[in-house]
Amino acid sequence: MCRLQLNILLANIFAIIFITSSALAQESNEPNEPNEPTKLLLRANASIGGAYTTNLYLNASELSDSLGIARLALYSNWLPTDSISLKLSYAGDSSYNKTITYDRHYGHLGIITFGVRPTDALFTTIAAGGEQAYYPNKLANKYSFNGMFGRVGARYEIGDTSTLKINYQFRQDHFAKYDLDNRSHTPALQWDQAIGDYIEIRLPLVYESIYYMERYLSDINGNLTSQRKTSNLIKAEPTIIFMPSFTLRITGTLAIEQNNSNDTYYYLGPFGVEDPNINSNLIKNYDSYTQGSSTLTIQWETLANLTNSIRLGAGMRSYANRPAYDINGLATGEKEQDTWITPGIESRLRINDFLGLRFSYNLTKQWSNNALWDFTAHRVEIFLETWAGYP
Amino acid sequence: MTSIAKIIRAWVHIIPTLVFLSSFICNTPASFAANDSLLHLEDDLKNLSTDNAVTIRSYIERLKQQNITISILEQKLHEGLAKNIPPQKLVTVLQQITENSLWQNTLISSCICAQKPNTKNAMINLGNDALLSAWTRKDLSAAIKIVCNSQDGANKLAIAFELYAYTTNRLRADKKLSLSFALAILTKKSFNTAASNQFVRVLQEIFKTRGNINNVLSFATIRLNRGLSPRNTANEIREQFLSK
Repeated sequence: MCRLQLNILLANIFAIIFITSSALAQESNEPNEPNEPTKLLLRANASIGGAYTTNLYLNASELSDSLGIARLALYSNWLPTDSISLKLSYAGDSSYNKTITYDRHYGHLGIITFGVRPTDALFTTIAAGGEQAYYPNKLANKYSFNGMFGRVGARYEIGDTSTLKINYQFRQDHFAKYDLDNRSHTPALQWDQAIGDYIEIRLPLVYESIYYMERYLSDINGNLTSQRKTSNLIKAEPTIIFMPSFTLRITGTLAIEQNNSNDTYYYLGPFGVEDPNINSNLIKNYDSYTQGSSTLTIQWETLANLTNSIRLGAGMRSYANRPAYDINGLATGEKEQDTWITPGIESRLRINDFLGLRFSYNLTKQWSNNALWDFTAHRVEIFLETWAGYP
Repeated sequence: MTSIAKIIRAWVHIIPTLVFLSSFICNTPASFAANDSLLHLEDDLKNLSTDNAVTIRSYIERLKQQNITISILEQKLHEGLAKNIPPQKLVTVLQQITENSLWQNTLISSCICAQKPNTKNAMINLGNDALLSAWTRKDLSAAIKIVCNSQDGANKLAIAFELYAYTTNRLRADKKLSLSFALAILTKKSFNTAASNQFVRVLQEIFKTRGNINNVLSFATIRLNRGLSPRNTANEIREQFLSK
């Protein structure tokens, strides 16, 4: 506290000296309207670090691994007028697994976004982008894919305390060596509302419909039909942000989601055999389920350059069709039900004006009546981050 | 220059002075600075002719009778002597400061912002700075009215003050740009704690991966001065500087 006051004192002594000397020298102080910012903004971010996890795939196999991870992001934003912007961004990342080489991959993501402000209260965007992920391992190579997407969005300010955001995205992914090609439609709506002085509420609602062109459903006898797999996810994630001071922020989230899949057989097959070709990381919404989860995050600044946060999350998921199996692989006759907690901590240290350090630890403990998904996972990450920008 | 611009410009001086004076509220080395200043005054008066010293002492007396701080008068005297400004010109400036201080004392006597002596004196000091920079009393009256004639105005000033202190000390923004930003937002009808918090949330996120936030503040100030609301401007910053 005293250090802060001393800083304030010193800062303002300089300010007053400046003001006084200018006045006495009969120099008029310049208007405080800043110069027009540069119309072209350029920025680069890079991070390199590593992670250690006791459970890479977050399942009962509990395969531990160390990962080296590097990320690079480049941004440009051209603002020819107050009401137009043209953004180009690129993000690349690489994950190098020490033990489970199968999972090594790297990816690229590029987006171009054109923004227009037709009125003061309305800002609209249209964007297009492409993504590529590549798995060099021979066995995992089939997971490599190329994706293309287009987005339109609008942000409308309603009065002085509310904001309405509407977005729609169309995306198509192509797996050259795998039957997972899909296209999705994702409309989203979000209402942000300030309540009183210290509370902001966000009410996002997302709907995602995915159609898998190459995934044919099986009938009850295991024979393929002409019907393709679809999944429809709806998710609401009300969030409350309480900010009693600039250095303390408490965020609470209550997420409710439901996924409806028309495939009640393929994943497990009519005889309870799991499809060995499915990478669960790529198909998180393959089954029908209902899920509720909540997260409480407390973030505070201990020093000017150090931000910490602690997080506690918990949730439950009930599958509509996915059977539960015991430790011997025998069906229990129940549908799978998972319950989990996810406590975690994170610290970010800003070392200087171009270098930062981020450390995090997260625990995931899941209890499931399906032995395959009953697990504990610890994950520690440490990253060195750097950035540069103009201006 | 429009009178609004002059008003905003006038308040460039208010906030650092308030911040400076706020440090006196707690136990900081500020009290030592005050003692140093008194020593300066006596030494400085000795460097003047007897007539001029007597005249300046009469100004000091008039201010003290109204419980008005003499700190700015001391500073101007000290700086003026250091810059070898002719004594007669210096006396004229100090007379002007005295008269302006007394005028402002009357003007802000009913101002909610100025109920505390420290705050009142801070505002008077600011006003003197503004008036010495070729401002008119009319401009200053308007500036004071913006923040001073209601509890809401007082609250806004406090919030802008806090925002300025945070952006300069925690987010290490350029002081001039940060003042411009704080003053631009101060004049907005919808500026309140919620809007201030919203700005801070965005600026904190930007600061995590930027060398500084100066360009962001310039961007925001210009948007505010051109009519966007604080909330809209904060969302605009997020759009242009954070979203991918």
